[in-house]
Amino acid sequence: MPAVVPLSATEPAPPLLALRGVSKRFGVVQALAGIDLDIRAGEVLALVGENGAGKSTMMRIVEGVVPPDTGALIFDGVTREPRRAADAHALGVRVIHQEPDIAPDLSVAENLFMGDLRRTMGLFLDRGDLVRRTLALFDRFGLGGLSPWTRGGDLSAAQRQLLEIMRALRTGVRLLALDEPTSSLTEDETQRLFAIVRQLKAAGVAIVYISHRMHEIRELADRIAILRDGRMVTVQPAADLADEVVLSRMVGRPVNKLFDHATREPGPVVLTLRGVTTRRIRDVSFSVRAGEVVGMAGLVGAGRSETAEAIFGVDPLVSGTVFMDGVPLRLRSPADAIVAGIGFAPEDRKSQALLLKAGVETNITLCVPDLISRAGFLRSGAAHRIARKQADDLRIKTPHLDQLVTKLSGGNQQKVVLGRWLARRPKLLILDEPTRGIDVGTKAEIYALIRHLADAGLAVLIVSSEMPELIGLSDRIVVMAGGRVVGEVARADATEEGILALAMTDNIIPARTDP
Amino acid sequence: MNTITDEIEGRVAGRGPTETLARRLMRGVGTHNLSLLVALACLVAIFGGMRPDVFFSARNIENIGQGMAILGILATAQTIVIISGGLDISVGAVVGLSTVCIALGVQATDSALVGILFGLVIGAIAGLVNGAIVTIGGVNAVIATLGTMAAFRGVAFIMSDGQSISIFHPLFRQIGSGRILGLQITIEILIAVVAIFFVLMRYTVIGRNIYAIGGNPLVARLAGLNNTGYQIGVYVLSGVAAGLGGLLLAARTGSGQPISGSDGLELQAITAAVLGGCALTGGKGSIVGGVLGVIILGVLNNGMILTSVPTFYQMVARGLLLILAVLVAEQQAKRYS
Repeated sequence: MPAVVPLSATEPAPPLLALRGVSKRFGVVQALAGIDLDIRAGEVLALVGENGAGKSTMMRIVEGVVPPDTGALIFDGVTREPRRAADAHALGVRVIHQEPDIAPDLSVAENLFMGDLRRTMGLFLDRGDLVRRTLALFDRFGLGGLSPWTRGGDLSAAQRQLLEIMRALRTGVRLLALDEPTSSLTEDETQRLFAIVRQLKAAGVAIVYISHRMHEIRELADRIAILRDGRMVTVQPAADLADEVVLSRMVGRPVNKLFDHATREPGPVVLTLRGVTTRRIRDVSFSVRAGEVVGMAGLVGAGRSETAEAIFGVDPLVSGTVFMDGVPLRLRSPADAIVAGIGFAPEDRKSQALLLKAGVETNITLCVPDLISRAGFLRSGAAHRIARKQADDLRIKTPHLDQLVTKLSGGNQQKVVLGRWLARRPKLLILDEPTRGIDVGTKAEIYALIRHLADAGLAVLIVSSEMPELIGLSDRIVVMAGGRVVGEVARADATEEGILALAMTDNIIPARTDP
Repeated sequence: MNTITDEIEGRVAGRGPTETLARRLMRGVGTHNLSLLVALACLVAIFGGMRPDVFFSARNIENIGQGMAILGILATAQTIVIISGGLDISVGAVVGLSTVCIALGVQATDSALVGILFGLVIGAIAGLVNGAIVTIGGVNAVIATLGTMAAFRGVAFIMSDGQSISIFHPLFRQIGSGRILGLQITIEILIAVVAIFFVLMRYTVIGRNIYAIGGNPLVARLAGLNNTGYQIGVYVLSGVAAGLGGLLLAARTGSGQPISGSDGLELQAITAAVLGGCALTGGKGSIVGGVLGVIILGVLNNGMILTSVPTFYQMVARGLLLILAVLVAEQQAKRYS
């Protein structure tokens, strides 16, 4: 990293990078229209906007991956035209993407210094030099505990991201853009990331922080830039913008209350877990009633998704029993769970739930073969009716039912997944991170939908890493840590701090040595 | 709240221009099939232009049809395998094995039916072996069927002692060169098989589930499908199709030969399927496309013979065609994403 003169806090820094009238069009979509933006050294600029607002396009232009149609990038007062990522890197501009490319079979140190590996005798890798340089870098950013020789493929999502950031730091970064960096990080990892961001900011690096999470923006940002429909609608100091103002400018209208907190009388017990144990969870017991929304809280790796997968027959049970309506299930595969009346919307829509090469109708009717066929032959009219009903009920926005699901927005894709299960009239719906990657406006709609389904008598089990979402939606929250249930909290008593304290139980209490 | 999201998403959905009639028509036929028809027309124009007297004769057209019969069955079955996310390189070897088994069966029992049944059952068993290795063993389909290709070929040589076994039963000559209602029986068998495959893939739940499993096996499993069962079934289907191909070959040559089917039949079958729009990653392709791919290959083969292209050059042309088909498919996939 080049020596950077720390700037005094009082005088506004000159822009490190200035965008002037930057526009970009993809086919019929005007992705960006006349963007003016100053990005200053030693400042954290939060970039917010709904999905499709143009944040990613803007970052791709800054990174030199996509050229703007019109407009200029002025870097340090000089107009530049980065044509590929290497040009931007040479200027010290780095974008950290959500899923960095890490060579899985190379070590952390090798990944870090890829392209700059020193050799001894002109041939052999100089391991001593590599370790020295890696540890020096670790020291500077307080990243002890990670071995330079860990395989890239063994790193957690958080560690990959830190590795990618260190790669940027190694080559002397002056502008660092982070694209939703915390979406797969635990609270602890998030705090570590924040510490690094603050450290870089103090060293005079310009930070662009893209996030959907308001509290993170509050914690880090000096200024907030709001994009909507490819236009920059607001750039103001964070202190001057209330949360509601940010949200309403993102969606273009005032946002109503996200959650409705009416209390309800739940029905009979639908799902019961008794002592459920798999490879990854241990002795999990709880139940969900009809008309009830039960949330599952915990840190990443606490066993929440693993519990969902156990209930759905993905992960075989070692011991314990899953009951539906009091009847024990024999779960050999998801097919058994589906027959028992369970639906499951997994965490990653694109790789786990949607047939990307197929259209809306095919995706919705995937699990109702009996309803759309006679003697094994498809009845296209029946399939069409079922898909139409779900599309109408769930208000899926699609030009026609044959539309490829990849062309839909994240929120509508999630509705297609929900529609698939609702077409079966399930008794229990398990939702793993139901609003991941979905913009604020559609989130609210999904929340209302979940509430509505519960009111209609469906039992709902939700796994979410977004605490406000979990507290806002759930009637009850089951907290997990280290593969076990460590507590249960009623909505009335639920606070983020309380749940977090429970979720970190395992880190506080020394590991028990059960037989 | 709903009105807000309405507006947001209405905007997203409304970005595309409204579909015109021409576009809808294109979507119905499929742009890919349309381009195949254009390619076919070009080939016909070239060869027809070079040898107009011979190329368009009724006899030659029937020749093309007869030449395509075995390939057509194998290629459409291969299309289904590829759609399911697999690949079957062993089909040529299974054809050879099947001819040997048919000949041995007829020789031993003097019954055509026993021979034919033996050939088809052997094809099914070969498919079952492939399917089990790929699904239960978890071996990559290319490697698994490359291995079984060599093994099946070996079994054919062992069973026949390396010799060609003649078939004297009259029914085989009937199948090989006979006609029903003026059309050659081999071509009729091809049409029947293609029709069954077409209906299976287009109009049944089974076909749709095969697309789903090939598109994304994890999604299919989480939707409650029995992936293993379907995949094994698809390989068995491919094996039976190869057994049927063996029957046609045995009928045409009047013998069971362990070496038969080794002249690049699997290459041509895969070429036709890929030409027909199959994505090697699975989940995409159609029987109609596969048939068009077969016709293109058939016309190309026939045309090269008519225009006296030397055999060795024909091999080069066929190999390059596979590469070209994949190249075009890759470009389309890139443009699409």
